[in-house]
Amino acid sequence: MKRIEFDTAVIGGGAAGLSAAAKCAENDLKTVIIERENRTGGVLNQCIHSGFGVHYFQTELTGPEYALRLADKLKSSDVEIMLGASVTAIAENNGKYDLTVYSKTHGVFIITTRTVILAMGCRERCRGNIGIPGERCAGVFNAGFAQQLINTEGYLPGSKAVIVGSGDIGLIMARRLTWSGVKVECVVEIMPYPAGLSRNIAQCLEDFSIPLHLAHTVTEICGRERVEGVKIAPLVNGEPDLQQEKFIACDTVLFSVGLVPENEIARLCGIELDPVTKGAKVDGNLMTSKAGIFACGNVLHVHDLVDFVSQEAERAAVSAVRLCKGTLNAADDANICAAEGVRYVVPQKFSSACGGKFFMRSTFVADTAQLTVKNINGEVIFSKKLHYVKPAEMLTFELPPINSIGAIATLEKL
Amino acid sequence: MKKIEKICINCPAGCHLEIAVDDNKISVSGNRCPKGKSYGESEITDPRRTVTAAVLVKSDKRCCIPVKSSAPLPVKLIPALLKKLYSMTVGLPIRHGDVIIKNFSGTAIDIIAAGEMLNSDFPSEKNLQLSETELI
Repeated sequence: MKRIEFDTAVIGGGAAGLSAAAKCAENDLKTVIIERENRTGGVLNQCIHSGFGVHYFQTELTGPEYALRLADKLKSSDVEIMLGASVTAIAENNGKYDLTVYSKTHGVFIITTRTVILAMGCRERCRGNIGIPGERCAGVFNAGFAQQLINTEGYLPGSKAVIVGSGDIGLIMARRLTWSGVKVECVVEIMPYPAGLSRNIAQCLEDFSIPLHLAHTVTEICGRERVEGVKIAPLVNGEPDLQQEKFIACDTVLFSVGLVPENEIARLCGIELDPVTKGAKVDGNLMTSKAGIFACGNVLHVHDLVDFVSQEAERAAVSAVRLCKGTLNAADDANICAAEGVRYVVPQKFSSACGGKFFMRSTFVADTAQLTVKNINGEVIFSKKLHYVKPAEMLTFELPPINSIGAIATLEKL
Repeated sequence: MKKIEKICINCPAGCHLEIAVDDNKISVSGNRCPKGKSYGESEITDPRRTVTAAVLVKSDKRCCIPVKSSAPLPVKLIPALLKKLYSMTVGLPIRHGDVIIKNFSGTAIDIIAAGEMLNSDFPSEKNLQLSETELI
């Protein structure tokens, strides 16, 4: 079998992979990107709406423009980009890793590398994942797949749609469908608050007077060959109240019910995963439980902004560079865990001597909330007031050095 | 005096704006930056949105090129623009920034390509060359 050596192999050529590879190449690592599709950019290519890059490029871009900017950074570098290629296994080999790669043009071969950056992104949850009852007729799509059909291939999924879930993809699709001439009857959200960013509620639903039914669920998808409608009902004490069930005629149902990190190969090679984020457990260097394997972007935890994906990818890349140059400070001795009001904190480990930078999500909606981080002796080591807290919007905080091997983060409504 | 609540769409922060309209005076509060103020004012006087769409490409393989308005467009002109974009086709190659529709409806706003497609096989990229000497 053919074998080729690199300093770092980046798995996935989306926002995270491109950003990480650019940073690695900037620091003279021999870098390869392995991308499954026949072009780089990942999901950015189908996100043709505007609103990306405000933080990272200090200007508002569309998804494909953001991807182009990242690809342009790589044009002047020595990064190798393999398209139409998939990694199917990662095996340890004398302090390095052997990646089994299947490529359309080169067949099967091995990439041997000192470091690996996982940047595979995430997948959509589908109707089956949330157990929506009803007929198995045509016309049921994942919102992201419908987005790909409309925006990259120019197909319309139907003429009258109901969107299940108010995540950002669902909201963006409500506007895209409307703009494409498809009537959006309503968006149905099981939680009592919207799952997407406030500005997307404003510009994707309110602009078109599309009703948003909060605390509602779909009780049945009806139709023989093709969807003919859905039944929805409000939730009362966590159960759908069938007395108030109503029928909404439509020929298309879109599901925007969350994303799950795509960690199949991470799991196969024995990387420890976080049961809440469904991504790898990482330390302050974004290194997984396998030394030399780093994770960033949506494969680590699902982000709401691509700008943060790029920043996180660069952080992982800098760690890979340091590892290759023998300067990585691997003294991450402290754990941080999420408690009351906090759904998760990433990274899960950090250095007590240096402190660290963290991402977290809340479990509730509040205008103002108090973040408190205590050490294992119960002493407050950090606190911060946060505004417009909601589970849909990622929060960040930075910890100073702490004199303890553990920290606990809580969030309290004010 | 009329009070209107709006969420600013300029950035992901999504400030909750309160816009007070008093005859011909508009005051905005709740914004955390100057963009919020001008957004709040324009929502009353001349609401605009950046329009993005995908235009079919003349090719044997069905695919689209993303396009966008070069500046936010008056909301009332959006339906006419979308109708035009979703019924037209464009030839390749297309580079980022190429003008698809010039000066739409006399607004001095162009519709430009927000992506790149040199041929229908997508942008050609540097591809890994495996040399036979690396056989093991």
